[in-house]
Parts: sequence; structure tokens; C-alpha cells
Amino acid sequence: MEKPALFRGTGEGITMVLNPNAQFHEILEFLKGILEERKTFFSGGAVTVDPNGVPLGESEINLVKELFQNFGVEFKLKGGIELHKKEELEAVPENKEAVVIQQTLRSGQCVNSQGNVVILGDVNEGAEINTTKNVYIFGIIRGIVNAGDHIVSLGFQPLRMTINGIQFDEKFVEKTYRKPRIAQVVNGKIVIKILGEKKSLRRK
Amino acid sequence: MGRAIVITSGKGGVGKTTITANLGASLAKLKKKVVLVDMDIGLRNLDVVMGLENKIVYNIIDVAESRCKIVQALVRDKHLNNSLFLLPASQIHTKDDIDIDKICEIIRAIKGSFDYVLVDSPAGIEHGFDSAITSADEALVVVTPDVSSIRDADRVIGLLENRGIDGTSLIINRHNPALVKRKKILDAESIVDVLGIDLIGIIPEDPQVMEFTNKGEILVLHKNNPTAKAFQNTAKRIEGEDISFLDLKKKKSFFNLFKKK
Repeated sequence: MEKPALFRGTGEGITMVLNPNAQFHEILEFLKGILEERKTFFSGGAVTVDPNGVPLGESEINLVKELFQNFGVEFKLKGGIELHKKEELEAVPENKEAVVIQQTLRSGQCVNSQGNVVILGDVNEGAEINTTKNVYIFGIIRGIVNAGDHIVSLGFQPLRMTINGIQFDEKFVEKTYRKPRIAQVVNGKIVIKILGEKKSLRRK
Repeated sequence: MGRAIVITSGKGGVGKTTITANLGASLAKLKKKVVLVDMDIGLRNLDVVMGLENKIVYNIIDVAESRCKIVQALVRDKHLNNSLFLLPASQIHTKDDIDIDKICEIIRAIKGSFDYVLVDSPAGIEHGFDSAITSADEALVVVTPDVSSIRDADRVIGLLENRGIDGTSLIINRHNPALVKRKKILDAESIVDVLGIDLIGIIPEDPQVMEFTNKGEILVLHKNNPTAKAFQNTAKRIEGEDISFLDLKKKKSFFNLFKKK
């Protein structure tokens, strides 16, 4: 099957079978499209999700649950499925201020920290970072990052990104930068700017 | 209240004075009232570029040392005599004779009666440069597509930080697309990548520039060639208009869509 997910009608109702070869963000985009197209059909009903090999952790389940909720659909998980638990990395603390991961954070790995987090690589889809402080990534964000004040990175393609509870809501953009950008909350929205941006001479 | 903009570079000979004159004239053509201030004390050149050497009576040091009022030192441009003025430098003093506070007072006073005060900074990063940037609120950094100019500009941009400068933009002067193509000089994108500030003007290499300097005439007041258009576009961008660059637009050609970066 080439589609990110297939819908099947069974005796118990509608089941959605995920494609293990699809990337999770593709699955989410596809789902969103179907739910928008067939709003009236799905609304008020329930859909059972069969991961079919796609590793769904708690955060990923929540993303699907939220999407369903927006369309008034009840989320059910196929029986007997074990939630995928992410491997918590034993981070090497450089000092009390920051935790430095000297590699790309891979799918299925997570960092839960009380301090700043530095990743010397990418944050792949399926990886997760949670901290109340800040995150500095020498690469691209494809996974989930939740920070307290700001996130610095060379590319923002997150599955989900929040700063102090506020969600980053820009459409998926396949853009990477040569120089770091900083994501911060400005007027209640997450805004991405060039780090140390100088004001220009142009009249506003 | 007008805008006081210093035109500086670090490196000498990159075109600060030529750009000050032509940008000033372009802004005046956009119906603004402009004063050009020559801060190259002891090595004045702005008057020569404007062809006003014979019209100078008083200079900025005379004003600073209270020998005359500002208005007595202002020289009207030959052509735009109601909208373009020159406040000349002294040719007999040196930069050590500059009292920064007095200069700042003078610039502040002029700002009250004009739309733009363009300050032509001397080369270097010593007292003369210091006084030029202290008096201004915004800065234009001029660069040519060579590594020495870029390194000096980088130093200057660093010095401009923490100096109360409210806006900084870059002008690339003596741009030569043919040489860029042959990879002999840097392209605009690479220069902006290193310096990391907003690009506001690309002025092409033009042998007529020197001819006009020798004639004592400002190029944009007599020609409408690509060089003049580049100055006009820069002036419009300073005024807030969003005009894209011809050079960078070429990169987005149909053929380039199929090239992998």
C-alpha cells in the first residue's frame, strides 16, 4: 500500500491501518486531509487505529488524538498494542547548566532535562526533548521539542514544537539554514528569527 | 526630525564619498531635503566630487569652534540648489582637531531642518571614524567584492554594535557580474552570507564614475544608466520601498529550477 494509511470497515466500525513505510508527519498530513474531506462522515463517530508496525509513543498518540478531537472523532487504539516507550538517554552533563548529547538524537530516543539541552546533531522524527529551559540544536528538528524560553536550530521541521506551552503552528516547510535561527514567543506566537539579527536601514 | 546616516567602510577607496554624493542626490530627486557632511577632516573630497571647491567659505571645524553659524557653512549644490547641501570638511586641520560632542551637536541641529543628513566617514577606525559614527543614528556599510574590504567591513560592523546605531545596511560597490561569473570576485550572496546584515544596494563597476568625479558633476544628475538606476533604487529602499535586486533575481531563472543546489 502506498498511501500513509488505509481505512477498513469491520464489524466493530472503522479501523485505520497505518503504513509502516510512511513517515509519521506524512501520516498526520494524510489523516488531516481525509478528515477535512469527509468531515460529515467521520464526525460524531469513532475510529480505531492499528499502528501496523509504526512505533507510536505516548506523544505520537496524543498528536493523533488531538487531530481526531478537532473533527469530533473518538480515538480508539487497537487492542493489545504496546505503547512504544522512548529510550531515555543517559545524558552526560557538562556542568549543572546544560546537558550535551554528542550525536544526533535518533528515533525512539528522548531527553528529559531540568537544564538546557544541546544536541550535536539532528533531532530525528520519533525523538523527543522535554525541558523547562532551552534547547540548542546543531542540526535540524524533525521530532518533538518542548522548551521553556527559546529553541535554536538550523532547521525547523518539527512533528511538534512548544515553547512554554505555546505550540508552533507553521505548516511543514522543508527549509534548512546555514546559520542558526532562534524560535521564541513573540506576542503569544512562536516566531523564528535570525540569531542576533541587526535592524536594517529601510524605513518601516 | 531627519535621519542621520553615516556612510562608512573601514577600508579606504571603496566608494564612500561617491556613494554619499550620488545617494544624497538620489534622495534629493525623491523630493527630500538633504545635507551631505564631509567628516574626512584634512583630506576632504566630497566638495571635489560635487564640484563645489570654489564655493566653500566656512567648514565644519569653523562651526565647531564658533567662528560661524551652521547656515553660513552650508554650500548649495550646483543643480539641486534647494534640496541638496554640503557641509564641508576643513582641509587645514587634522582628525585630532575634532571635538566629538560639538560635531554631535551640529548634526543634531541640522537634523531638525532636513530630511536626511548623510555623513561621509573617513577610512580607518580611529578618531575620525569614531566621530562620524557617534554623530549618526543609522549606518550604511560600503564594501567592494574583495576579501580585504570584506574583512574591514566585518570589523566595522562589529564596532558599530553597542554604539546606539538604530539600523545598519550594506552596499556592495563596484559589482562586476562578468568577473563574478568567472569566479574572479565574490558574488553578492557570499558577501551577505559572511557579513550577515541587510543588503540595500548593489552598485555596478562603472568607468564613468571617475570621469564625473573629475568633471565635478554628480553622475545621477546627468545619466540614467544602470549605475544611476542602482543609486535610485538604493535611495528608494532607504525610503522603505521593496525593490528586488536584478543580480539575485537572475539566479531564479527557469534553467536553475532543474539545478540541484
